[in-house]
Amino acid sequence: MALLEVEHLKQYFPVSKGLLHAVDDVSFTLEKGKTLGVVGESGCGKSTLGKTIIRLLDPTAGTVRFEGQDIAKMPAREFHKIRPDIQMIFQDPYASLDPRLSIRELIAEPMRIYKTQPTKEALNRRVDELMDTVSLAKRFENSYPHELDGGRRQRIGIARALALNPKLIVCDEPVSALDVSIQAQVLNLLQDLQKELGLTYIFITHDMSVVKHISDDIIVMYLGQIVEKAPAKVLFQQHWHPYTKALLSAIPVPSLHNRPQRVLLQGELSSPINPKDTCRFAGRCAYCTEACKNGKTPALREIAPDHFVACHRVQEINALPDAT
Amino acid sequence: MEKKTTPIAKVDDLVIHYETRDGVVEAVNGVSFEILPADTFGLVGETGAGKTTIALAMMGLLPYPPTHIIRGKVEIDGEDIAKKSKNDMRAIRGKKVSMIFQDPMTALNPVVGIGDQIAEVILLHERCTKEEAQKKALDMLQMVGIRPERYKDYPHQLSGGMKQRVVIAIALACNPELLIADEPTTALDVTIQAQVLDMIKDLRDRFGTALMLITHDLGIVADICNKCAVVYAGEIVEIGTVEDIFDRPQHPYTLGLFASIPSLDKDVERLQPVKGQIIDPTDLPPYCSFCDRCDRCTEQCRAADPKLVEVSPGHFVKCIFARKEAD
Amino acid sequence: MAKNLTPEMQKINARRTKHGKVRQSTPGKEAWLRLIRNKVAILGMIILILLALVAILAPVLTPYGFDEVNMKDKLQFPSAKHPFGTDQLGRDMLTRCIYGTRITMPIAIFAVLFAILVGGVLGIIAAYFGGTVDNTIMRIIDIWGSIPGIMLAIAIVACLGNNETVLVIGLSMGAVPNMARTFRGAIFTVIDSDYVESSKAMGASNFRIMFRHLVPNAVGPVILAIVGLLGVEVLCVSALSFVGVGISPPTPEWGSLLSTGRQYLSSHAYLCLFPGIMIMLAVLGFNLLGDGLRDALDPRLK
Repeated sequence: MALLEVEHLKQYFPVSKGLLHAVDDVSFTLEKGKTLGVVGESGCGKSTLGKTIIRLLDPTAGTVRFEGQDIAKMPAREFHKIRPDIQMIFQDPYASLDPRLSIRELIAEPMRIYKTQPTKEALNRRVDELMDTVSLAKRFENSYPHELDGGRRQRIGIARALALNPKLIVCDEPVSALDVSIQAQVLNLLQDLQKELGLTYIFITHDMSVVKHISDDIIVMYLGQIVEKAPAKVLFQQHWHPYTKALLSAIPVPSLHNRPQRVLLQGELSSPINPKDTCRFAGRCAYCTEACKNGKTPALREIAPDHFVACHRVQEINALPDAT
Repeated sequence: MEKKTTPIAKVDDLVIHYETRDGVVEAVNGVSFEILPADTFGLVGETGAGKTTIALAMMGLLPYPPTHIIRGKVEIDGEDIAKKSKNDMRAIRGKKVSMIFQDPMTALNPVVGIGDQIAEVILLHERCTKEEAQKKALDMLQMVGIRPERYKDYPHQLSGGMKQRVVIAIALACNPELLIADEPTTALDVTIQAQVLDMIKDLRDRFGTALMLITHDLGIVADICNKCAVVYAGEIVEIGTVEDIFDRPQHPYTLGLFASIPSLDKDVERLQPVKGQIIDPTDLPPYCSFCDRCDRCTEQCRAADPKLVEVSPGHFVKCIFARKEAD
Repeated sequence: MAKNLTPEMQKINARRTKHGKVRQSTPGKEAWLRLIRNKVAILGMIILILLALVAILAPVLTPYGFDEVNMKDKLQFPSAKHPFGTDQLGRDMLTRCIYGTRITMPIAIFAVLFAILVGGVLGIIAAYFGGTVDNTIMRIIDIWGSIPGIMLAIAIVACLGNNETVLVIGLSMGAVPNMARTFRGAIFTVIDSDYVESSKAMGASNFRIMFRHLVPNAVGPVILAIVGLLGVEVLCVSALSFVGVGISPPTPEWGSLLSTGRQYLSSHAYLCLFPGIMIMLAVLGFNLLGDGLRDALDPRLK
């Protein structure tokens, strides 16, 4: 049984002009111990997806099955018992820590909420242990978040997420706010923890090189929908959706050699408010035809084993044999 | 345009400190470089390395106090800007050097139409009528790829990428000889960033503007620059052409930066990050600032601050282990 | 240790770090450090501390009782024996002004505390739950707030009789809408913070989020409003007593002293002058402290 199964998940927000389709019919499964990378640009719904999975938001429709139980619809009281298993690491280590709590208090907070440690001594011991796990020197225990740099703050965020021995951690852009040299330290830490504790990650980011490094499978999202899904190793060799092509070619590569040919996108993102039932990428797509503009939303189809693409013309564009 | 070989901007042994509540921050410590008219110069470094302070000093925009220029000078077109009056500086900014900032949202006035904001800059610096300025503003808008019918739009009606285009149009409105861009695409998505970078490249070639690009992203430097300097704790630790930096880097920090970035074409199981934390600029050591994070650090490194060594023509490295290149 | 410090910068560095680096501190502690460096705030605090001392030490400070009638010495001008003079019954004005501190200040402070309790809780709940809860509470507050505070106080005192407790309740009722709006606004500025979301993701209860995370972080503007309100309440207490619905003679409330002295204004102006100065000092103290706090709590002015 997969650890997490998400089916037809939808998250719509009412706004003044209509319904904002932040997450629109997203499905995937995630096995224990694996990392699922979710990439996309700002506004593609990747953060909303993460928040919906850990139930910071109640989904509009769809199911989220965690170890076989549908956590999307279960009463809040019951979900409270499962919550320790599903934790989150937030993007901005500057904003996601209460500035008025000391490091020790911050790390102890989840354990205080769930009363997992019977005595004060046990709690202190566990905090020490967690600080050690994330390589945070003991001398910082009484400091406050604003006195630490970004890398150390993100380590606190990680320690908080680990405090309740979770099974699944949703990492929402955990390294985007960090400098590259520090970013690499945090990525290594996350990988080490995964190996040691058998954690499962959902890794949300806009940084393609980071997601390639850390993920087993990758989902590419565009305006609330999955446009391409493939194992990480495959996706960077064969990317078949026109948006994935553009996204990958746009990454500035820190090398003077074998630079990719840029596929520049025309135009800007279309609106996610009351979208029409057509391909949402049509307006920026170089391969767009009349049929794309007027047809239905393309379904996510398995073009090769484990490689899914949502594009009407995927076979034509990539000169692939018709799978169906 | 005539080819000049005298540098458009020259920074010479610049040392800038500023006061904070926590003591004196040694933001810039003896930085020297020059930008020739055809250069695209990349200034790479992490948060707090002093990149923006250098740029603001070149614009004569550092507030005094709390900032103190301890020594060194900035020359724009061969003239020391410290000797210029406020009015002269105002004329230099925009006409000779202009600057764009990271956040396009705060650089635009929210209650003035974008076209008029461009026209305003032209009116300030050039002797022309309002109509001429508006016509030029319209041309500039088209140049940065915004349709003329959006002339009267307000900033909030534009997306982030479009706003940054307007900011660039304003900066280029008076044909400056040097454009300083401080993280111009950091706030943008990668696909939009690619569009904006392409446009900057195109405009640079068309106007022959020299460009100084401040960024933390080595990928952008590889994409657009011909020269580059790596800054650490307010010092240039390595400077040279992009080939020098990307193909033959020598400084441990530069090497560390490259090893920290997950590669797209190779599969690396584990990254090799630079160890330790970013150095506290209120507490720099009198020896090599990188010592504490460096794997090769020896007693000798802690004895004295290393000098920049020329390892090949134009390629300087601030490390005692720097060796002359064989070729 | 440093790279390029010139002697001049070293001096600045030494001055800046004289008390050691200001580390290991919360935003609150930092605001406090800024506050005690602010001359205006210090002046305000000194005035208020003096007034508090005067109130506590009242029996020690004066040889007379506040209601000690001495018809022989009535309506005496200020002298060495009676620095503030005496009133129409020969009572020592200095003593009455001193004891006035014991009446006016506590009433103002308790009125504000009570207003914080009621208004604060309403405002926090409205801001945290939002939507219908917010709408319902705030519309009630709007109606409540449309009645002038002093009118409400007069009405309550008129119904329930004029003693200190009733006055405290009456005055605080007038201040509840103000406090509710202040708390609601302050909570709104922090409610979208990532750390709130982070705590929610951890399963923290609403109570914990409200009082452990939101209130401590929103406390800045609230403190400002509270200090401002204290000044206003001092004026209100005196004003009510002045018009005769607050504390009535012989209790030496400043407003009622002023009211009594009014009859002798043309011949014995000092009877109004000294209680007036006391009211002014108290309000000034709160306002100066408020101004200092505004600077200290605004990190942009660092």
